[in-house]
Amino acid sequence: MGRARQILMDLVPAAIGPLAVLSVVGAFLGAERAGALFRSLPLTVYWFLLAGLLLAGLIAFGVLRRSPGLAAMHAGALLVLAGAMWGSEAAHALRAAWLGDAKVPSGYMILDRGDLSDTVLDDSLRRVRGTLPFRIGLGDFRVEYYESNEPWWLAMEQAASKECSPGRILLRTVEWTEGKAVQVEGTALWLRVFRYLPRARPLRNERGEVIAAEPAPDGRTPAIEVEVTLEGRTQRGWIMPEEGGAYGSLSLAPLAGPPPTMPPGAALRLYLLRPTPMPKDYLSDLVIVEDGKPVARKTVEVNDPLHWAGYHIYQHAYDDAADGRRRTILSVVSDSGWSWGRWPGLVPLGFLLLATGTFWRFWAESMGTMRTARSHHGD
Amino acid sequence: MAIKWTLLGLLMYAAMGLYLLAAAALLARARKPGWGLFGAGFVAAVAAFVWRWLEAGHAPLQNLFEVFLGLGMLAFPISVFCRRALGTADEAADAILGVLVLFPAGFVFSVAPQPLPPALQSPLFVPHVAAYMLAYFILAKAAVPAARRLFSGRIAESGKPCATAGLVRPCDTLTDNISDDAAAYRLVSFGFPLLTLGLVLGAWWGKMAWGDYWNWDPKELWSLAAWLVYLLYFHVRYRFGPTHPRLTAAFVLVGLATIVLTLLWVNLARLFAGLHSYAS
Repeated sequence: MGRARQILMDLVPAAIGPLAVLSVVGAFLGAERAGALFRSLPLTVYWFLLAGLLLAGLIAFGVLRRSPGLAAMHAGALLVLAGAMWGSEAAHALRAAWLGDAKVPSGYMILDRGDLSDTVLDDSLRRVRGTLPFRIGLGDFRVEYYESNEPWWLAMEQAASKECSPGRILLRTVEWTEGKAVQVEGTALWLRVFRYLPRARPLRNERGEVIAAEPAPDGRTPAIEVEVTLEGRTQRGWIMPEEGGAYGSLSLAPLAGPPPTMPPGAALRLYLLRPTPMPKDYLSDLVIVEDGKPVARKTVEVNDPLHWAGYHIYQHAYDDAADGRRRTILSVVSDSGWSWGRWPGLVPLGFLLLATGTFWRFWAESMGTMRTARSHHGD
Repeated sequence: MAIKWTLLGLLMYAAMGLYLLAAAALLARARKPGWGLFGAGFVAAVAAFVWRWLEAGHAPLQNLFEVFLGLGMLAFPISVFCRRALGTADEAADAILGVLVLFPAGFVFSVAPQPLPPALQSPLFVPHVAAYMLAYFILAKAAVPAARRLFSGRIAESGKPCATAGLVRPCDTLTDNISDDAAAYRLVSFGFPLLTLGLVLGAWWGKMAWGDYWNWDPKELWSLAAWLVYLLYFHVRYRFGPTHPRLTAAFVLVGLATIVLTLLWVNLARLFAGLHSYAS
């Protein structure tokens, strides 16, 4: 091995080792600070040096070019680095300054049904980061949930608490077992569940009040019969939410007796709550509008973004406004480095070469060599 | 720590018991019963995995319980394949590894199946996790000859008798034709492409789901650190292998440590909360 190549070879651990250590350091910092660290000026210099080292290795070591696996691995790593640099925020800023290509690197859009917008916001969702060369309209946004057979939760409303902001109530869930009396944590109340009906039909008195419930196979609402005891006084009743409702409740005011105040720490109301359903998917029906005309439509969902005119548009999150409106939040990412029009860009090509190269080198070439060696040994 | 008195739990315990018996038999050079018990343990582990799949309604690779259950299933096929295709040994160690990975699933981690959150509903979910699981088990297996090379000081040269094989490696005419260094190298060479595939598929999936192929998430960074350690192993072995064989063996052990941290600590410690938090 020549002196220059030996030095080059010695530089490899000197380059990879610190990156491994920095990766561990970055893991302790969290994604945001780690991202800032790896995009900092010293690390930017490091990325260029690493790319240079890979290139020098490919030039200096004939074996890296002769072995298809090794060539693909090293070229793949080089392409990933080059693509990452090309798609970076700094590269976007440089192209905007030098070439007038004012492409937004990334950002967010927040849309209500019927909105049409080309404005990309920053992380705060308040400041404008740039505009797209087309507009995006939202037809509909919906959240799909998994069906759940989980029993509904029992929860006690707690007496006024400093932990609770005005206009909200503090609930404490109560663990219950049918037929067993349990003391409600933090209170002098005892609770016994007599019956829980997962599907029930209400039985009402002449005033329309629920006085009991009975099992109903076609019912869509549960019902629970409870007995609450406080200092010798007992209240028994049914809790059943309205059809389609998320909760039902039972006032415990009669327990207090005269004067009508609850003792400190006691509960005011007992709730039967629907467990928070597990989201199955988030879907936004989008339309792309150019020059006032719709040119593309797609339902964007998690794992299925829309690619249009140099941007990827992702389903990112949603926002429940105070007035009950639910707006979708889309993430908009420049495709620089990842795509060239319809074709894969530097990064996916690099990943492809890297993955196929490792398999070629270590499975095909190495194992082939091993088999040959074993056959020579007569194994 | 709790015992799972369910069919799934009992199948896992059966697999663990059979693996332990297999390890004992293989260490006692009772190869035929040893392999038979190992195979029976594999059948029990597969049954547990399939049962969990049916119970969950999706490929059971979502959380640590399911991943460790799946890892327990890999012990036998990887052991057989490595012995036949790579000429490596350590079947008893493989069976013990099977017990070690099934133990947290059997006694520590929660068992309740959960529906898949939207981000995990991707065609890349199974290949990404499966590639990592295979890589992790193979690379963990590579740590056995590497540890022996590092701590025993013995070098089994080609064709020479295996004098101090130790507890985890009964002497064998076929497999003792390769040194511990060569065995570790072959296993790392076998596992590294799968580790790379897991990393690349994860990046591709990240691009599809979150908009970026690299998010500097703690789990991503630990995975990168593990990948870089094995990358260093190859370069250091190429450059210094003949003169510093223990140094290269040490890299295999450091690689295993980073894998354990990537798999366990990142998911369990709140210190590393990130995009992969659902895996805990």
